[in-house]
Amino acid sequence: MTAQRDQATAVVADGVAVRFAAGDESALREAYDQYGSAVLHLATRLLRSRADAEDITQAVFVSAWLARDSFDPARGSLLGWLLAITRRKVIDLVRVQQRAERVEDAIRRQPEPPPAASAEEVVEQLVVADELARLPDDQRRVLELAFYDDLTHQQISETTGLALGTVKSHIRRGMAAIKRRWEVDDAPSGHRAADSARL
Amino acid sequence: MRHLDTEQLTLLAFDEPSQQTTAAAHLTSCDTCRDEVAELRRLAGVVAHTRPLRALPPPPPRLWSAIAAQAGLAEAATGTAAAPSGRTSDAAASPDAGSGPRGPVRPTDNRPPAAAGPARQRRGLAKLALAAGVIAAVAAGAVAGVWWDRPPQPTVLAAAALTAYGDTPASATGSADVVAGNRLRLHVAGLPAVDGYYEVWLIDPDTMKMFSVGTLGPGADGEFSLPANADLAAYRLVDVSAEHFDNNTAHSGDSLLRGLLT
Repeated sequence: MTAQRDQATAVVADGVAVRFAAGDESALREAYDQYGSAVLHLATRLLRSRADAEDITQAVFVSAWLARDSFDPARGSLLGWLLAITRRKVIDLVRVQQRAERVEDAIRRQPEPPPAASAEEVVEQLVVADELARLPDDQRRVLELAFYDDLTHQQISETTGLALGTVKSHIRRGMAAIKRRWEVDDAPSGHRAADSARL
Repeated sequence: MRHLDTEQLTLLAFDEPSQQTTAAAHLTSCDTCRDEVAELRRLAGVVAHTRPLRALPPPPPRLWSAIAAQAGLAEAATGTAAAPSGRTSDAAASPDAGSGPRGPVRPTDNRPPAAAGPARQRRGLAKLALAAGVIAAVAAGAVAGVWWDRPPQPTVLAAAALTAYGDTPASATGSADVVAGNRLRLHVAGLPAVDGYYEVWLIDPDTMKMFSVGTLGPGADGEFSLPANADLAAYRLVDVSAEHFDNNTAHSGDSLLRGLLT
């Protein structure tokens, strides 16, 4: 029952990516509702200025929409693609700011400190969090107890009432699903970087 | 040599090796399985860090309006005009009516037929894409002079969504339209009070050269004349600053709103 519902959710979510690529305007809104906070989070972690991070978020969704032809849902997730564009735009913005600082300091405030976090780390955390949220309820719950609450498999079994063997199999399946997604979206990517470089 | 299965690898990665002595022994002699366990452990570390990311705060509502407008969505085009009757009930039910989501309803009503529409629209929008947002500075050389053919409002040659800059409260917003006849139309809202006046600038973000377009009354809209030879492909950053009565005609350095013309 639960598994069925979550399976349906996954299909709908993938549907957003497909409709996005196909140019369905409602898919842009859904993608924004689903991933706007993740894009803003990445930009905020990489930039010191909140205003810049919001500008980047806006530019990411506009550019992604206008370049939707170059997004292939079969090659990676929509979130992974959006985050790759975000990184690219942050890099471009920092370059522009550095150049601007050299030429004219009149309207700039204090020089900004270097980025606060590694983009790779934040991206893989966001992708993994997204995949975790898509897991069937039982698997997700077991993984949360294991990772967030540091419970042993035995303790998870006692807390949830699931048999120990079931706990282990949930962990194995959940981790396998997350790992697949992690490898697809975080692969040191030639093609995604190339896509976003054109934006 | 027979490799470990996924279950064994996963359990090893989770530091419960006590029940896995045979498997643990295998690791000492097998690089493939050892690498696999190391990968899973690294992934486990990533998963453990995802807790604060599961309920991230959404972006401020005004961002969507700007995205919808810049992306050329039908809902943005109709958002400022009278809403079609079919839309009204949706808007009433939606917390951010006007720019809000319309669920799965397909906006085919406001779009040209698919065959002719997307191709034509795409051509104009693809150029816009290059200029969208802050990245425009990099691509500007390639798009200089192309935004004049932007559909669908022929009188607006370029537009910018203005957002709060620096320490300005995020509630401050605005928009700027360059219209035919070298006019800049400005609308602002939520500007913080200043002890002097507001001044409007056009800046070339590549060089940070700028010129003043004029002064703006307190919180009002304004329309300004631009020099006929103004190079809006270069001077494309609209800036509203807080100025003091200090006999200094240069930019105070205190920008309140900014946005790129696209």
